[in-house]
Amino acid sequence: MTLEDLAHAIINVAKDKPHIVTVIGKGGVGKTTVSIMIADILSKKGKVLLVSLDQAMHLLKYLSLRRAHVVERVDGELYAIQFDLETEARKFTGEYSLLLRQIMPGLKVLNVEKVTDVVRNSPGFEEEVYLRFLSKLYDDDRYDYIVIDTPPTGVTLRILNLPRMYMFWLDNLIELRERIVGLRYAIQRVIRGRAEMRDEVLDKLYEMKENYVKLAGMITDQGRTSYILVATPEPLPVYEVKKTINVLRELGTEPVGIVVNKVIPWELAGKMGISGVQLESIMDVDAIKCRTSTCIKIAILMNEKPPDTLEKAREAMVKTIPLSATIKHGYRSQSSG
Amino acid sequence: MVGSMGIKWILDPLKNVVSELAKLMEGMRQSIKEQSVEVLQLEYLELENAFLTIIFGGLVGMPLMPLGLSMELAPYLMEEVRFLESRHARGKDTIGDFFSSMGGEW
Ligand SMILES: Nc1ncnc2c1ncn2[C@@H]1O[C@H](COP(=O)(O)OP(=O)(O)O)[C@@H](O)[C@H]1O
Ligand SMILES: [Mg+2]
Repeated sequence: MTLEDLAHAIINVAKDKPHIVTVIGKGGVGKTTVSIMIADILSKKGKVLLVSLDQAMHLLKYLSLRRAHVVERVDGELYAIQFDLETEARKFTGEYSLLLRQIMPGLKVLNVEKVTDVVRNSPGFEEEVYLRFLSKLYDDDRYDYIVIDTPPTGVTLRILNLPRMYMFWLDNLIELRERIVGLRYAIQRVIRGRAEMRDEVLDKLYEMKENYVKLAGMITDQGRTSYILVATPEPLPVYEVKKTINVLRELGTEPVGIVVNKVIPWELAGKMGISGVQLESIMDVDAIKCRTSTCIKIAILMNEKPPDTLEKAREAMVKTIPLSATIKHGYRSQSSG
Repeated sequence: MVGSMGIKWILDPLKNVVSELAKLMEGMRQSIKEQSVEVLQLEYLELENAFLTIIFGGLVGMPLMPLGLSMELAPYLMEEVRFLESRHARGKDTIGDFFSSMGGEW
């Protein structure tokens, strides 16, 4: 079991263009690095866009991209873009204040600058900006695979939950709007004798509901989205992986693979006095029960130098082994040491 | 003659009563109609208000629905917001506003 096997598992489940590969994990565990590795392998089988939503923006450095928010060809069929939240957020607030000016020219109490500020700082705003971008990615069929390097886990999980939250709001709005339209119809019938049942707003609400149901479906459809969870062999990153699996299950999906990155060679780990923690963490991941046969668990060994370029990532990528193999080595070193 | 006079004497007031009665009933029908319409209109206005408040309430500090949804819907609600605004501006004449907002010849 190597990263290649994981990539092939993804290729096998993928049933529509683009197939989205979402890489989730705690900051620093190697999300961006693993994303590059997976995207690189997939690009031998089709056109790939690697998107980093992570605002640490390390992708710029790793792949020597010229600037953020622009798609660049990296190598062969591999393309990459570092998403810039600020640019996208400004677009969003700009559109919003324009709408406000059109809708409520009379509302002078609220000055537009202030509203933009309120919007920018309102809870959930960033997640909504991310979701807009994500939903565009799902429609971008120029690529066979889109690999997404995600923002911090908490933000990512809230983004994945958003379509369902939207659906809840839309259901309530639809119910209310249907009553409004029904009443308006009754009033017009009595007064005018004829009435119009059609309502543009209600039609729009139905359309939006349909779109978000579709998006929520794609997010949880294993044929459209593969989730790869990344951790290092330490308690907190492993805890986050478990938490993420729970959320994914609540949503109705499963990860296609779990990667334990930066596994320190046992002898060295022993000298550093961390082999016990490492072994426990790895066994913890090994004990996670996957509900699909395709769920692959692998380990990537700690490289001497950080794999912070495409070439170095390709070298480091070779050092992947099945997670279970690391446990055997771990036991041996534990009992001998 | 006398007979016909007698009949007319009976019939004329009766005709009046009938037409009065008809007028009265027509009036009642009309007022019931208007009353029921008024009730419907009030409920309608309440719901419209609630609907727009949910969508735009975030702007006045009520943590209500997600902004992205409001934004998607907003272009479709321009007219309704203007109507509600004008109602605030003009005060009590809700029904008049309501009629004019629905367009047509009232
Ligand atoms: N297998 C590995 N061996 C050695 N260093 C690694 C390995 N994987 C990642 N790193 C290094 O760890 C640091 C964090 O990796 P990165 O991919 O940027 O993490 P994240 O995106 O999760 O924050 C980087 O310096 C990266 O080069
Ligand atoms: Mg990163």
